Amino acid sequence: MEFGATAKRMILYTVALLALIAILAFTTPYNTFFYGMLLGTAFSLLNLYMTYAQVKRVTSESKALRTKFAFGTVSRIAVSVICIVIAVSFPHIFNLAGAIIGLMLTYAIIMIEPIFHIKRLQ
Amino acid sequence: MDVGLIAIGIGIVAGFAALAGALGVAIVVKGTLEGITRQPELRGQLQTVMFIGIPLVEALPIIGVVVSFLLLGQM
Repeated sequence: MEFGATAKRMILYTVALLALIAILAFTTPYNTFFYGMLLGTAFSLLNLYMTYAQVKRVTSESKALRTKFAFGTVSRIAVSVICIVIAVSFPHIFNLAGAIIGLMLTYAIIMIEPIFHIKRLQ
Repeated sequence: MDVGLIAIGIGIVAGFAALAGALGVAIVVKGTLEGITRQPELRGQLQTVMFIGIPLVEALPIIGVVVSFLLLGQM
């Protein structure tokens, strides 16, 4: 299980889900919910990419024996807060529940994906 | 509802969410870096575990911050 491959696979799954949600948003009558979910998933994807970049950077810095590094927790929480603020500011466009579900979608993928990967390896 | 109580609730939720997130991420990163130092050849696998572990730890603080923002909207 290589780090780069796993991260890219998860990013790919999130992009695929984003496309699916976009299709649902434009074809179903539940527009605001899926717009909110689209917003949340987009910010969640940004969070995932930031995690990938930070993990890569931290391990390379620890290898170079530098001790001063940040892990980007604050920036990830700030991205989530920006998403929620946008959803709260435009309630006629974005549903808040949808935005929160979208934000947590990447975490669900991260939790579920290794199970399928292990099954595939077996 | 009393605005002061909501403000105290926001402070408690956001503060404990930040504390929990910081402690959780610190434990995950500490374990991973120790593992990499001990066995540098397992770096890729340990990075993957860290990559999976950190978002799982961070999901709860993010929910906490979101709840505190929802409470802020109630004020």
